[in-house]
Amino acid sequence: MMSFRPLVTRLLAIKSDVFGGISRNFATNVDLPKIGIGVNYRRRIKFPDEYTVKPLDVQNLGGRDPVTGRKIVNGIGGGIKHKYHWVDLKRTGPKEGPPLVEKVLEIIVCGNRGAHVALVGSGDRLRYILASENMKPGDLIETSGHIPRNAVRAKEGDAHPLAALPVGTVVHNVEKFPGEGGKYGLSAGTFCTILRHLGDRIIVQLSSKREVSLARECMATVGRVSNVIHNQIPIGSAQRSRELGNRPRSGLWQRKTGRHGRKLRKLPPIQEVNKSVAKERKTISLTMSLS
Amino acid sequence: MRLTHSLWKQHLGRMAKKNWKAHGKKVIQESDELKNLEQLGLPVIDINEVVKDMKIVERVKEEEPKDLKHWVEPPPVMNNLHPLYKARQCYMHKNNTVLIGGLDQAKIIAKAVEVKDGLPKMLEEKIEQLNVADMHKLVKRSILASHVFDAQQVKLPKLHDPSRPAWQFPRVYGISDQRRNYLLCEKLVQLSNSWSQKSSALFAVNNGRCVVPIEKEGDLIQFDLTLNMALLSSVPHEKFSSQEEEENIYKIDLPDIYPLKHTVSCEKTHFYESKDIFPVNKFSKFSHLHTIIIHHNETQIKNLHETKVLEGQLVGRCLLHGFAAAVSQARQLFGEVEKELPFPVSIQCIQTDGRLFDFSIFQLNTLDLNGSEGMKNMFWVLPRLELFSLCAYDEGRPTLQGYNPEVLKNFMAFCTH
Repeated sequence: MMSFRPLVTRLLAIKSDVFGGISRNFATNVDLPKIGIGVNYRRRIKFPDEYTVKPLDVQNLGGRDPVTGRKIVNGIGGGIKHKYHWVDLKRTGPKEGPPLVEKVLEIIVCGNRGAHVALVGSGDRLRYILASENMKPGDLIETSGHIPRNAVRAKEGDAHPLAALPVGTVVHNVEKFPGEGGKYGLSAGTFCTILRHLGDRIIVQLSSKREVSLARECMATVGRVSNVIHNQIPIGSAQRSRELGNRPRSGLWQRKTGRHGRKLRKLPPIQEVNKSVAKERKTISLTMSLS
Repeated sequence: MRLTHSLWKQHLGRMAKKNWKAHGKKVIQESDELKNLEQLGLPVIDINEVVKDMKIVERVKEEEPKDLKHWVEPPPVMNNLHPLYKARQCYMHKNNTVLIGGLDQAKIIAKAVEVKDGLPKMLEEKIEQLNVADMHKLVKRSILASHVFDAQQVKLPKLHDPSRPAWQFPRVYGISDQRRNYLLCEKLVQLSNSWSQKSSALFAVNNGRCVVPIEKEGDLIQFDLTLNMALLSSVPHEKFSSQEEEENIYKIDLPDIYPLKHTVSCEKTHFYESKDIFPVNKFSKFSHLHTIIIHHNETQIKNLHETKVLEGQLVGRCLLHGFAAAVSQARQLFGEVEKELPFPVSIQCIQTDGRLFDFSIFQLNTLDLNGSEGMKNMFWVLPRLELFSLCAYDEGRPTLQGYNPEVLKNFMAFCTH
């Protein structure tokens, strides 16, 4: 029997997409969340209260929303479970005085991300950070929050505020807002470039070639993220794709519709990254429940 | 003429439902009405302010009766009201702890230096003179008995090939590592006992517990170790160090693990009981630790970050076991000592995982562990020795390959010293 679902949703086989959450069944009044805004539908990790270096157990979600349990994304499921290394994306250093020195103890291949993870230690504390391209065990890396008058000579693996680094430096793990942890340049082989200073903002080119204006105090780590050839390695086989947690997919590809394939677009203007003061808007929901 | 109802082509109910869904969410837009009213001078009062003092009487919910038959005491809350809570943090060193800084970190904690490559001179001479040629056959039999012939059949850890991550190996059954190590050591000690002509025998204690707290640079470190096999004698060891080695102590520096501290990778806790436990009663005839044999059970000894345990880490573990045993012995003999001991306390330590052997000796000269100057403790260790290269069923036949006679010589020398 012919399904009443629109042709478009059948072809794309995405439950919740740019059309704003079309549910699987017209009878159910369900708003599915949007994808691509930071929620992980592949795996869920139970983080303990305190930071630990012990690899954590992972629960596969199979494309489901961790809160409601509803299927949001097709094509995700199964795969080899790898223990999760809790990476600390905050490189906070003293604003004055000598920098924080940490020793790289081990470089670990992490199954939950393309980048490698470095186990570093300083004093009593052990933690994981994203390994940079040429990091090896035994290296000493520095973290400093101080912005000197003259730019610091950038050494790979060191973390400094954006204003402290010379223009043209290749960085990764760049913070969006000071003190909130790195957001840009976290994937394997990615990097951002410090382009120019504009007043008290710093223009940074992201790995997608977009330009963004950030605060001076945002921390960034010098160098590229490790495992640079990651995106050049093809998956290779259907079995390997299943091992990575991807379910079989049917991609109906049509010539000449203008929909498929790589698009060459103009770069958007520089986005000034600021915390927007969102007005609290009240919403009321009208229903026809006859109870 | 149609006598039946005409059927609608579109299901209007679905349309109505979609309409409600699409228009049912209304965002209240802020308008300028309130501002205009205020400008005109009319008071604008928020309804919530008026209603604030009105109390809504909620129905009291009846508490569900507790199922006392199946009532289980909730686990104790780990806060400052817990009976074991202490304000001061303690670094716990358990039996299966391995340090990330390896041998260097262990040397810093114990304030020990290696004064010589290999074992002390007098012991090396003794090992060379030992003639144990007639015992090798018995030892080979013991190895096969402990690794292959024992009747225990338990599930061994899953085999994993990192180059083929999805491949599931057939599950292996066999003798567990704890049992294998215990059997081998028991046999070797028994053989050395029967071979030695000494009238004074050694008293063996299995899985003796050794708990000892130490103070180092303002940190409280507590060792809670299991000495898998402790051989005790009625007389203490004579000191192993020579005059020259004792002078060399002041010339050798402790290793530097900057920027790590000596307590890195130790478990930190506020819930502990600071106590001193020695494996044997103080008043027994055999109360001097002669040799300790500790087992490296691969299934139990792991790094916190779950990467492979390295050789240096295991030698460090050997050092700290010897150190803790020596400290516990010293406290038993001399009471609470702070500085140099009246005479050095020496412990021989053998670590094995059933195939690889670490022979070491720890000599405790001082309990003043602060700083890196002054009197230090001494540590001798032999490079790792393999007892054999393969001992398993090979094509259905029990095989022992690559037997190394050196291990037995060292073992006998240690046990009969």
